[in-house]
Amino acid sequence: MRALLVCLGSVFLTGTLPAKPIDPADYWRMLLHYRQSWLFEGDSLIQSEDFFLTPNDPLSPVDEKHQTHQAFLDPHFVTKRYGEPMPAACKYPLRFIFLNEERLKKGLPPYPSVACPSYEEFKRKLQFDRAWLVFSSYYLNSPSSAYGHTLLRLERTLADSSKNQLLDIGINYAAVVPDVGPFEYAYRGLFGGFHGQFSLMPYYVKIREYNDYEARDLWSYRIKMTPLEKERLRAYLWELGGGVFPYYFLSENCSYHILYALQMAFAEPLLAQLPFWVIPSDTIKALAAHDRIDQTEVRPSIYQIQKHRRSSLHEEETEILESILAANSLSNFLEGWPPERQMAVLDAGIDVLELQNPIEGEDPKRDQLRRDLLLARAEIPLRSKPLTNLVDKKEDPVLGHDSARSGFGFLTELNGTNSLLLEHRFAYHDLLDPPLGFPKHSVVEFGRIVGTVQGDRVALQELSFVESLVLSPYDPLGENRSWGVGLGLRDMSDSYCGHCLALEATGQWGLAKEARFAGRTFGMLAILMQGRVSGSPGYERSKVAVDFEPKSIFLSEIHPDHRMLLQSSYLHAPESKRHQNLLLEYRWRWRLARGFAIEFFALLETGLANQWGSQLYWYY
Amino acid sequence: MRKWNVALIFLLAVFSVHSQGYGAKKKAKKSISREYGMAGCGLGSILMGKNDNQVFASTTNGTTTNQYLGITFGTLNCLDAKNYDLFEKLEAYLQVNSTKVLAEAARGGGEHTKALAQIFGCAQHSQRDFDSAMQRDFSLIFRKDLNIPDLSDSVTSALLKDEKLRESCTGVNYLAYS
Repeated sequence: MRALLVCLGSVFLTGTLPAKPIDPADYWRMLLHYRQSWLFEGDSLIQSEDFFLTPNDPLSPVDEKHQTHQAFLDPHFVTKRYGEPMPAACKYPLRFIFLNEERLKKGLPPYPSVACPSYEEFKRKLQFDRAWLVFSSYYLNSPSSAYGHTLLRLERTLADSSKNQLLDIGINYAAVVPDVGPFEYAYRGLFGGFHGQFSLMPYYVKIREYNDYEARDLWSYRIKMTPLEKERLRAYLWELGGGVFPYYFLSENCSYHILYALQMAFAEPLLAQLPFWVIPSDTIKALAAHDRIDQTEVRPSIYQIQKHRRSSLHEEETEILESILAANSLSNFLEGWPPERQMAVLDAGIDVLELQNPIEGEDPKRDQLRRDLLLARAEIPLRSKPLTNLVDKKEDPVLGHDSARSGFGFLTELNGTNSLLLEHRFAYHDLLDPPLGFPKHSVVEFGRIVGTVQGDRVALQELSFVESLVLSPYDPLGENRSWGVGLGLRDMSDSYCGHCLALEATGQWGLAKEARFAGRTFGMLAILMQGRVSGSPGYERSKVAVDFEPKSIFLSEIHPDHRMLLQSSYLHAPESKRHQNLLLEYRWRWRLARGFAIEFFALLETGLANQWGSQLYWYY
Repeated sequence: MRKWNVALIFLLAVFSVHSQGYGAKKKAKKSISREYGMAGCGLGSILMGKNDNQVFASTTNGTTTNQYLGITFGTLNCLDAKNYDLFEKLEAYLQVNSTKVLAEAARGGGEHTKALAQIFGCAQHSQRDFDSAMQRDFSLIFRKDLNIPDLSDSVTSALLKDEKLRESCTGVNYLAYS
């Protein structure tokens, strides 16, 4: 207990964890990706048959260690790596480093050295000066990327001593996903039905994919590494090679394996402080907690770039740009304008088209317009100024609140009934949570459970499996989709049944607009139409019901520590006992300190007693 | 949906270049040797080179969730190729980045044109000349509807015509005389 308190104290006081090496016995099992718990019989997660020297049915770490030791002692022992014969020391360089260190500590002579031309060539080509952990920010259009994605960038010095991020090396871990339907996709993703593998590529491939095609900012965190740790990282990547793992969206996902690789390089338990589910931004925080980050950079997406270029246009220039894009023709819109003003409009137009149509060939008219803009731009012998500081540093995911949240509070109905409110959310963020480090105006939640306690009666009010909501401000030249989806269980008492829980699926679609005054944004207005399908054996009429609920939302963002939501909705539910009702909801959440917030709320609903209450939230 | 469309088009583009461009180019170019035989070879080998087939030869797994082009470790698909490194690096780079290169060339330079110059082995001090040439001769170099091998040849030819750039970009001479 004392050690725990010291450890927690260290985290809270300094923000970093003491560097404690992994126990050698644990490190060996980690090398094998061996897991054993009360729930699972011990075995390796690696599904590649030729990864081990002993049978993997199930794997015995002791036998594997003994066999590896014998193989290292015998320089003539030959094994195969993807069909290529080589000594065991060449196939398993990280095991070699680890076991050799153990021998030296015991005063034993080192293993005989062997020539490893393939591995040496690999190391030469994977030479790097620095490694960066890259966070590709939230992509709410894809369920598996809604929480972001992490990969590694190995920064290189080129032959002429210059550098260029585009020509660095990207190390990625991802699932190999065949073409499957959404339900199979969800099922296999949640229960390890896809294979995951490491891959490497020129980093420009990932820049193009994330920055341009998906319009996601790339946050990069420079990792402090010693030469030995770099050597271990290369050895781990080589040793693992094309090793295949089961891919779990929630746990053994991309961020888990990237952090695992770093854990093996550092020989420090980076993953130990994470829960069983692994969220990409939490892995960056884990690295920061181990004092392994010494610099942060952000590479803006094409969305940010075009937004910046458009914001620098005068009103007349904006109108001309919109006319050019609406007409799909440059025509003579810019005739007679000074070159600098032409340049500004053309540069903005090129980037808007890059955002709207990143792939040539999808829209021939847009392709032709892009070409016309490029030709016109090249006629102006001026160089566009480099763009800098396009992304607000407050959006750094490291600054974000912790992803799990628990709440405790009370609910009072004006008819005199009082209840205790209990809430837990596994992850991640809602409209009223502190906005630093998260995508603006969005909800990404997984596993939220809300219950009430009234006297000796405990009732489950809601169990939300997943919920997403994205409010995108209206932009005549951008994407304007505001949408949401949800799936969960909800208490439908007073509407479809006397007392029942129903499975519900919801979808929302609408428009949102930033509320601005005197040049300052102070909130977001949205009009949404929600459709819901729900069903329960307890429903009194039909067992499945469909209802619709137009709603309006005002989200106040005057201060990041004080978030307010005003929502009104009209529920049209023909199968319901009440058929229709009006709801007015007000919530104010106040961030008290890092990790804590308090919320006050009031609910006015036709036909029901008005309610108000408060909850204290803890983020961890 | 957009994501899958993008992935599909990207993959089709890759395969169409590999299936059409290379065979046709061998006859047209006398000064550049292109013995590709590249079926199944991809960007992993761009990084690791032709001799690392046993290690990092690659596949194009365009169907992964988080990547349009995945280059997995350890599979065996890549055949040998002469003059591998520069040709492959150049064309792979343009395959992925041609629209960015065009945008920056028209604007007088940027990090993508800088990377292109670095692939050509241009000395750092010649970057401004490189960017100026790209912008000045934009309509000639970046002609409409060029496939990737033609685009890389067009850029190479432009550099060959420029005496200063020919001198300072070592890769240009390599491409010209190999």
